[in-house]
Amino acid sequence: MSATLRLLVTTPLGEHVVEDVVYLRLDGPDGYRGVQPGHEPALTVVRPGALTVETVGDAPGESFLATEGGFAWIQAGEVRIVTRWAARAADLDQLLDQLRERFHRRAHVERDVRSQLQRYDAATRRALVGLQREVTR
Amino acid sequence: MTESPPRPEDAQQPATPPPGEPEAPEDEGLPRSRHPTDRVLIDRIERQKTERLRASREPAGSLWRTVAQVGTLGWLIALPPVLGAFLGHLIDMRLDTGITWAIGLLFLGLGMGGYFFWRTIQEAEENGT
Repeated sequence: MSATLRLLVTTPLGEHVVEDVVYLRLDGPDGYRGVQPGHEPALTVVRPGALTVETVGDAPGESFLATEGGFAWIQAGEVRIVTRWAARAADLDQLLDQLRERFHRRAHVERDVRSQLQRYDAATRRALVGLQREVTR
Repeated sequence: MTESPPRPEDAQQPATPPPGEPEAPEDEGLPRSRHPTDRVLIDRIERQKTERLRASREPAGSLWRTVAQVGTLGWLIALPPVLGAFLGHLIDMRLDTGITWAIGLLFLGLGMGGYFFWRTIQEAEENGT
């Protein structure tokens, strides 16, 4: 049995690997679940929120991994998190800053797309009215 | 760490929510968004941060304090009705009024016990213990 775990975070755009994990706290549908090396194989749902990751080795300490929710597949010496999006930070404040920034960025993108759609809509209406006039003339 | 680009199916949502669906409230300076997951995520992580802060503030030996508090709660509930009934019984014996005073003071004690219990819980919640 290995003394540490390997954490693999799989998102649609790639995979992030965290080595030397000694403890992982998942937020599941039935509450928090602590995972340590030697945990029995399991598959569980991960709720949106932050996972706590404790590592030893080159970068020892605690860090946090925010996910949009997904699945955690616990295997011997390895935990694989499958999620749509994830971000990792050394503390929760940093993580919250990242999330707020992402929230604002996406909201702005949405606003731009909406206004563009409205412009297209108005242009289509104008063209249709013009066409109707031409036809009825 | 990776991040997905804005998805077209998300971006092409209508500007106003469909009838019957409440619009996301605007708070904490966050703009309205069609991404409820983001808001849920921020709320959850803020809650986790509060939980961690509370846990770190809790002094050592709080187990004994909790035990003492539970003991105190028991006394707070039990003592007033017992004292009330005892006092009422003494008054009944003195005035020869049957069990009128005993019953009356017993219920008064029950009410006081309930009030003390509620107040202690409120205080404990305010102190975050």
